[in-house]
Amino acid sequence: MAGQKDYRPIPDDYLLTVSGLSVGFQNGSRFSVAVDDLSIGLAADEILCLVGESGCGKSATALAVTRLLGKNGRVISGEVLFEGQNLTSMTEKELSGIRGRQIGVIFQNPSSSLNPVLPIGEQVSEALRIHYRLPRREAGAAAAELLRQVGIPSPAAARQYPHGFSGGMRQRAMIAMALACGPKLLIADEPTTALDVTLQASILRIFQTIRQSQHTAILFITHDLGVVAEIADRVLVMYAGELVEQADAFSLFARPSHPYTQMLLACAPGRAYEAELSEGPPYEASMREALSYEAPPREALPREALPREALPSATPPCEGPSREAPTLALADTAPASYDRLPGCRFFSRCPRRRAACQTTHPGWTELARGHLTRCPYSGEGSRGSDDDESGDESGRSGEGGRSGGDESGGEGDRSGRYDSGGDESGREKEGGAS
Amino acid sequence: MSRYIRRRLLICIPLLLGISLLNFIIVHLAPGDPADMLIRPGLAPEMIVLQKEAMGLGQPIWAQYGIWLKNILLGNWGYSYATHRPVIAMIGERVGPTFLLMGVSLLLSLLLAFPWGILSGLRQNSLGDRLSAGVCFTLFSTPGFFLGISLIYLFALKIPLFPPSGMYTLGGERGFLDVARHLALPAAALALPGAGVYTRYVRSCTLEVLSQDYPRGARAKGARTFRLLRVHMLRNMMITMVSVIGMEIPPLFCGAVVADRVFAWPGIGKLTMDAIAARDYPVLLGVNLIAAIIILLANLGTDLLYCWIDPRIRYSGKGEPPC
Repeated sequence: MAGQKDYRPIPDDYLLTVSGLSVGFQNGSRFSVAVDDLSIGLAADEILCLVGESGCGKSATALAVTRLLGKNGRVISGEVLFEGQNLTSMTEKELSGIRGRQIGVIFQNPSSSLNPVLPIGEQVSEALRIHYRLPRREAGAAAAELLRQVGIPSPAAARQYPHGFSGGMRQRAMIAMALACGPKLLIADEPTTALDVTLQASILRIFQTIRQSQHTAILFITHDLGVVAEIADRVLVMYAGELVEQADAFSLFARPSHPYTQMLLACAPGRAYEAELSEGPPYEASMREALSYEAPPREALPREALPREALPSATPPCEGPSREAPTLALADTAPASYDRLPGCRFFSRCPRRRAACQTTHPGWTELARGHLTRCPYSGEGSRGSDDDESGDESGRSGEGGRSGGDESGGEGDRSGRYDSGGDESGREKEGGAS
Repeated sequence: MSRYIRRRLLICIPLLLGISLLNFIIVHLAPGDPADMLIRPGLAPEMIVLQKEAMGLGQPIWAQYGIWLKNILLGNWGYSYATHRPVIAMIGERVGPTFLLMGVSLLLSLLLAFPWGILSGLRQNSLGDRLSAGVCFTLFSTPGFFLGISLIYLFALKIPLFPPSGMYTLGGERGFLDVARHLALPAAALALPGAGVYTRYVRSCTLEVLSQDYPRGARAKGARTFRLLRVHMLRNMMITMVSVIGMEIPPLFCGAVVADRVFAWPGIGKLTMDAIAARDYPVLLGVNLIAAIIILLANLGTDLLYCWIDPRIRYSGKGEPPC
């Protein structure tokens, strides 16, 4: 965990700064950590995608930022700054003046996030009524206008109840609701997950339009990399409660560096992000590579030392619809109580793991300006030439000559937005590991 | 809407017929009959037979039911055996006080239960919540007559705040305040057990609504607790509460009968008890019929309220909307 402190975003440059955020949930007598020491900087006008599989802490992050975690959720440590105001230390009263007016939230499930007994129009304009004390009549007109903006032009729609709306319309209504006061920041938690592809596309267009016309910053949470390719400026990949890779969208798809990112890309169905890569380095290569990972030889790992969940399982981690199932003989789920693992959290599923990964928690490695990964060996996989990839499968896991540290060290030039204070410690770790 | 009400009212007719038949049978199956109540020492047995004939009790029970039903449909509810007054008039003068008592105690228990239950739900598992659970269970497991007598003892005898019985001060002017003072104890005795039940329901409704996603959605829009309660939660809670209240109307009516007895409240309950004691069949049948009508109307009212509150029910009907 020490490693992450090296790249704390500097508040001045961002609209929203999250630093060292840890979130936990109380389930009965068990307390589990969902987000661990997370730092994010989101600039005005930026669309930042937070990607990761279910249960990795994406939604918990979104809720913690607006302090809507609910009764059993708790922010353990960390700070959330929005335009210089500390949201974590605010009173509920001050906070409710910001929610809905400056920060809009779109929730994961539009069907249950809408009040079933209130007309849609009333719900859409509620933020206006709360923050600007708009009279009922004007609020009604505003609601109709907001609904029109998100593609529900019928003025009768505002008088309907949620159960009369289709899934896509409810999602649009949710978006209209979050946009009512023209917020500076929009947090969208899987807003397109429940929708079919055509609707998804039109909703993504809505987001792009908003960003262009209102300069709204968007924190977009999703597990769909196709959506990420479509919309993101910058991408954060999250795994087991912490960030494992962050880069601008282009670099991420062109050079996915963390083995988890590579796995996600390999699992993504379809080729939605090909356009993104039209001129970039070989996407096919990383795809093939991700598909052909094999577990390191068993003898290479001290077996007794493996945690139970790290033991190989028969199920492959993912199955693309049109491809052969990858031959990964690895754990198919993220570890359950990851906050107590001493080493790399991806260890149990990592095709590139080494013994050292189990004991040392990796810090950030900077591959390029603004492209950070939490895998010290990330230089190896994604950089080889096309020809090498196809033939050289079995040898990969054992190969360890070049460490990622060497490469990234050469680039030297750090993103101006990051505090480069403690990055020595990160590099030391890498050195030790290789 | 009006079509729905009309249909529901039509359904009430066979229901009422069934209820009245059952009532008739049960009342007549009870040992003893009105003629027996007239037995005095020295009365000739022939006189009793004659009296039975005169009362129409000599005929088979189904024939008696037929006659009674025909009379009811013609608007004749019969005459009391005991007072020889028309049943409809006797019930008419008692219905008012009973409705007053039922209405006020229902209102009281809801006024008590809603804030109490919501607070309890918002502070789930706190010390106050646990204590209030204990108080609620005590309240609704206390028998009405015991609670009534305790209230009289405490607030009429020990601390003479309220009159112990009756509806008006004898010889006093029958003003609003006078009635209110007399109403206090019986209404409280009737309201408190109800409040205990409602509080538990309100509490669980609060928790149910809070566990949904939309309160969080409302908070995300900047709504604070009061608005959340007023705009988002209350209406959703009412969906459940309306059916609970609807179910509690019959017990409330029964409670009113007991309260009449304990507090000498001049309501239908007192009339009923007297009629039972005197085997006064016409009065008893009339009271039962009125009770059945009240309860059926309460059910209809509940369903209409339900439709009004929950838009999903309002528009769910295929072909013909329920309301």
